[in-house]
Amino acid sequence: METGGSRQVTELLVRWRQGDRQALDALIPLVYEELRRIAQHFLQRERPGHTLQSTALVHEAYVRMVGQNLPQWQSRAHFFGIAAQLMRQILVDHARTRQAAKRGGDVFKLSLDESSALPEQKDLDLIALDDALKSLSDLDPQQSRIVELRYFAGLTIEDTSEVMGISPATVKRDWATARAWLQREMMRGGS
Amino acid sequence: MTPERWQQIKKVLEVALALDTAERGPYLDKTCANDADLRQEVESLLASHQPTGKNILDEPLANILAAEPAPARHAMGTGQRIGAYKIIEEIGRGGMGEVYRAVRADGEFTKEVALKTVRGGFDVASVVERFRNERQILASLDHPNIARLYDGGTSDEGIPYLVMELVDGVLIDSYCDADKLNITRRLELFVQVCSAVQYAHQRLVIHRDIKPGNILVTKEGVPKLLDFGIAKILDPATTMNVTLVRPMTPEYASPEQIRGEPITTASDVYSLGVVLYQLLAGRSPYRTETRTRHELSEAITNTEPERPSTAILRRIPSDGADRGKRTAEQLCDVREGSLSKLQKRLAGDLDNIVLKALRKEPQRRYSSVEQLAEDLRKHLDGRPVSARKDSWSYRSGKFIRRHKVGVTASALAAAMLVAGVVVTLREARIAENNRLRAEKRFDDVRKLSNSLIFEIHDSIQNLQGATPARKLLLDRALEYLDKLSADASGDPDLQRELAWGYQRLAVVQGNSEESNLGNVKAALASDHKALSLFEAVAKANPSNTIDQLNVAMMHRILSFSELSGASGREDLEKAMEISGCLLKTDGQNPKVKSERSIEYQNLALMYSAKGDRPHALESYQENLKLKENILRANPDYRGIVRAHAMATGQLGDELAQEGQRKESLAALDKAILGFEEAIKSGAPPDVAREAAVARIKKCNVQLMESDIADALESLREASQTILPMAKLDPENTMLRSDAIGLEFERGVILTLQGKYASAVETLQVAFKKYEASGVSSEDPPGKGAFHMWLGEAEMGRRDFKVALQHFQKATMELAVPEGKAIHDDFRCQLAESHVKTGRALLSLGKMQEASTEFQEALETITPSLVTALQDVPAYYAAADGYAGLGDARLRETRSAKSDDERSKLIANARDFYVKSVEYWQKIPNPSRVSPSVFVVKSEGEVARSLARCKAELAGN
Repeated sequence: METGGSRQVTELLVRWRQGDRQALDALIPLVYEELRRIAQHFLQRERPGHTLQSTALVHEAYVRMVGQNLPQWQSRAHFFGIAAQLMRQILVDHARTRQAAKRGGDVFKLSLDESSALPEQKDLDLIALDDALKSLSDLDPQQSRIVELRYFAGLTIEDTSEVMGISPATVKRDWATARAWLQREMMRGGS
Repeated sequence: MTPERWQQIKKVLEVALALDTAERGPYLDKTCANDADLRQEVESLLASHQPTGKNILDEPLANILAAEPAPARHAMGTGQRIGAYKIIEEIGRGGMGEVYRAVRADGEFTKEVALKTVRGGFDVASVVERFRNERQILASLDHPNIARLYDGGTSDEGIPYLVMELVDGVLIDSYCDADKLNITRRLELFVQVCSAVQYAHQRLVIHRDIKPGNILVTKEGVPKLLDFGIAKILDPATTMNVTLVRPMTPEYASPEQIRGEPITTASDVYSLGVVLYQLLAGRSPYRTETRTRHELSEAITNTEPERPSTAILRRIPSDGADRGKRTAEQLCDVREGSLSKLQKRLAGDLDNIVLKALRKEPQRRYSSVEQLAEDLRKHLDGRPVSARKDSWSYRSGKFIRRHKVGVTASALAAAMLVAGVVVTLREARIAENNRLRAEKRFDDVRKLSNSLIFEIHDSIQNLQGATPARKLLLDRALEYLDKLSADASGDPDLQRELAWGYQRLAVVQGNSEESNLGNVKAALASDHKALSLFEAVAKANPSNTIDQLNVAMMHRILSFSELSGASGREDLEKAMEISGCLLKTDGQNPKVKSERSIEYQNLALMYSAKGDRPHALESYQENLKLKENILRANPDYRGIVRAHAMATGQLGDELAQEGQRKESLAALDKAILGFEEAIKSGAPPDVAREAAVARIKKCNVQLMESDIADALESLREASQTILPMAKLDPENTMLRSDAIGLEFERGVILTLQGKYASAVETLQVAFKKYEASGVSSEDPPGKGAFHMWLGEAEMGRRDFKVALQHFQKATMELAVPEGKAIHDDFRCQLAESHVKTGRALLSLGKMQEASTEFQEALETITPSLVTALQDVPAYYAAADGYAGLGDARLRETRSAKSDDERSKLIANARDFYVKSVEYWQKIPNPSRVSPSVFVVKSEGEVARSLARCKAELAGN
C-alpha cells in the first residue's frame, strides 16, 4: 500500500537525488522520527537476550516510510545513508544523556524499572567511538561513512559497497584500517 | 595528523594487515626505511588491531544491546545486625537501597522500625555528614501524617542507614483504588497529605521527592508521608546554600528540578500536583508514550498537561509498554462509577486546581501548599476556588516566546504529523476487526481535531509571516478530514468525531485574519460537511437526542453566517423544527432547552437585522424564558448562570431600542448581577468583561434618559473592571478596544454636557489610540462613531467646517460595502450620519447640498420604513431627516426673492415638519438621544418649528 507519507518520502528521496538540498532537509526529520520511534521500541520493549539487528531496524523504517515498491536502488541507498547517520545520532545521544544524567549526581536514576538495554560500559564506549569517528571524518570522510553504515546501520560489506558506490574490496580495506585507527583512538581517549 | 599523512599510513597499514604477522616486520623495514615516525604509527595501529571479538566495532551496535545485568545486592538476612538494630525481614528495595523491618537489638525498645540502608555508589562520609547536619530538623518533624525519623548511622561494614517510623500501610494510589474511593474521599485524603507537607515547609524542610511511593495509608485510613528531607541528605550536590538536586523520581519532578535549578517549596507543590493528578485521573500528566528520560524531561519542562477530565479519555494501547495501564472504564469503576460522572466531577474546578499546581513557572503555581489545600477545601465545600483556567493568550504567548524561530517550522511539522495520523487511520480502517487499532483511531482523530491543528494554528495566528504555514495547516486538516470521511460511512463514532473536526475547522477558517470571502466560503463548506456527517449519524440513530441536537446545532450555526439571507432563514427553521420535536420527546433535557434558546437568540438577531423590532423583542423573551427554565430545573448546567445573564442583557438592550428604558435598565442591572454571580461561582474572567459591557449599555440607556450623573457612574463601574484587565493583558486587542471605548463614552458624555472643548480633546486622544491599537475599524466603538461625535462636538464649538469633514468621514466609514447584506442597525447609523452632514452644511449656508444629504438619509432608511414593521431606530432617523429638510426650507426663506416664494418655502417646510412629527408620534417614550446613541432634533423642537411655520402661514 502506498500511503501519503510514503509518497512524500519517495518524492523527497528522488528530489534529493536530483540535487535538491531542501529535500534532504525535509527528509531528515521524517526519517529521524521514524527511526527514533522504532529504535525506542526495540530498546525498551525487547526482552533481554533477544538480539536486535540494526539492519532490521533500518529496513523496517525504510519499509514503513517508503514501502515495498522500491523506487530505485539509488534512492534506497540514499535512504540507508541518512538512516545510518541518524541511527548514530540517536544511539549516541541516548548514551550521552544517560552519562550526563549520572555526572549530574543522578545516582538513583537507574532504578530497576528504568534499566535500559545499554549497559554502562557500552555507553562510555559508544561516546568514545562517536568522538573518535568525528576525528576520523576529518581525516577520511569516506571511512567514517563506512563505519557508520557498518556499525550503526549494521550493513554488510556488500550492502555498504552498494550504498557507497565503491567496490567491496575497498570497503573491506577501509573498514579494517578504520577499525584499527578507531580502536587506538578510543584507547588513548580513555587513558 | 593531516589527511594526507593518514592516507600514507593507511596504505602501509592495509598492506601490513593483509600480511601474516611474521611478514610484517620485514615489510615495514623496507617501506618505512626513511620514516621512523610512519613505522611507529603503523605499528601502534597494528597493535590495536585486536583479534575479532574484542573490538567494539566487531558487532553492529544494535546486536549487542543486551539487558543490563541485575545490580549486585547487599541483602541482609534475618537476625543480622546493623548498628544497634536487628533485621527482622526485608520489606522493600528502592533506588537508594533496601528497607528492612527491624528492632532495637539491645532490647531497649521493642517497637519495630523501618531501617533503610544506603546502597553503594554514595560518598558514605558525606551522607553521614549531611545526616548529622539535618537530623535535628528532621527528627523534630512531629506530625500525624509524617513518618518520624528516629536515628541513623553507619554499620560496622560501613553501610550508612536511616531508622524511621515503621508504617504499616498501602501506597496511597493502591489504597484509593482498592477501596474504590470516590473523588471526594480521595480529595479528603490528599488534603491531609498537604497538611503534612505544609507543616514541614513551615519548618523549612522541603520533601523533594513526593510521589505515591512515599505516601502510605494505614489501616485506619491515615496517610503518612515517608522520607521527608531524605533526598537532600542523599544528594551529593547539596552544599551550604545552593541545592541543585537532580530529581530522584523524574515522573514526579518539577520542571526546575529537571533543569537542575534551585528547589523551593513550589517544587513540592508541583509534585503534589502530579500525585493529585494521578489520584484523580489515574493517568500521568504526561502522555504515556513518553518513556525515555529525555522525552519525559522534555514533557515536564515544555508540554502543558492535558486537563484531568480529558486525560481519563486517553486510550491506552494495550500492546507493549502500557500493558497493565487501566482503561477509562476501569478508572471510573474505582472512582465515580461512570465515565460521564467522573468527567463531570473533574471538569472545571478540579481541572483548574490541578493545572495550577502543575504550572511550569514556580511563581505561577499556588504560592504555598496551604493555598492548594485551601482551594481543595473550598471545592469540597462548594465554594468558588481561586484557580482559573490558564488564559489562552498566556499559553500561546508562551508558545511563541519559546519557539520564536521555530513556529513556522512547527506548523509544518504538525502538518506532517497529521499526515502520519492519517496513514495510521487508514491502516486502522483496513484492519477493521482489530479493536486496539480502532481505539487508537479515536485517539488520533481526537488529537487531530482537538489539539494538533487548532492549537498550533491559534498560537501562530498573530505571528507575522506564518500565513503560508497556517494555510498549509488548514489545507492539510481539510484534506485529511475529507480522506477519512470518504470511508467513514456506517461508523457513527468516527462520523461524529469527524463532524466535530469539520466544525472546529470551520471556526478556525471563519476566524482567520484574512477572512475574505474565500475563507468564509471554506468555513461554510466545512460546516456543511459537518452537517452531512451529523445528519447521517442522526438518521442511523433516530432516538438519540444528542445526535438530533447536533443536526439542529449545525443548522443553527449555518443560519448565523447568513443571518439576513434566505438560506439563513431556512436553516434556522430547520433547526427549530428539530428542536421543537425534541422539546416534545425530551423536553426536560437541558441540552435541548439550551439549543432551543440559542436558536431563539439567532431568531431575534434575524428579526432585528430586518428591523422587525417587536418580533426581535419577543424572541429575546423566549430565549430568556428557556434560560430561566434551565436555571431553575438544572442550576448546575454548565455555564447557565452566565448564559442566563447574557440573555437578560440582550433583552435589556432590545428594550431600550423600543423606548422601554426603565425596563431596559432593570434588565441590565439583573444581567450585571447575574454575571457577578457567575464569576463568584468560578466562571472565567472574561465574564467580568461581559458585566462591564452591560454597564456600558446601561450608561447609554441612561444617556437616552438624560441621566448624566447615573451614566457617569455606570461608566466608572465599567472602567473599574476593564482597565485592570486591560493592563494585565496588554496583548488582548478586545480589552484594548474596550478601554478605548470607555474614553469614547466619556467624550460622548462631555459633548452632551456641552463641554465641547474637552469633548473634542478627549475624543481625539481616544481616536488616536484607537487607530494605533491595530483593532479593525469595525471593532467598537468604530471609526464612524468617533467621527460622528467629533463632528457633534465641533458643531457645539461652532467649527462647522471641521464638523462637516468629520461627518463626511463618518458617512464613508458607515457606508456598507457593496454586496454585504445591510443590517438594520447599520442602515440607521448611516442615515443619521447623512442627517448630521446635512446639518453641518446647513450651518455653512449650503442649503442645496444639505437637502441632498437629508434626502439621502431618508432613502437609506426607506427599506426599514416600508416594511410596516415597528422599527424604532429607523423612526428616529426618519424623524430627524424630515426635520432637517424642514430646517433647510426655512433657511432658504432668508434669500427668498418674493413673498410668494417665501410662503411656498414655508409651506414646504411645514409639510416636512408634519412628516417628522408623524414619525415622532410613532416613537414610544421619545428622547433626544436616539437608540443608536446620536443626538437628534427633539420632538419638542420639531413641534415648535412646525408651530412657527403654521403661524407664519396663518399670518399671511
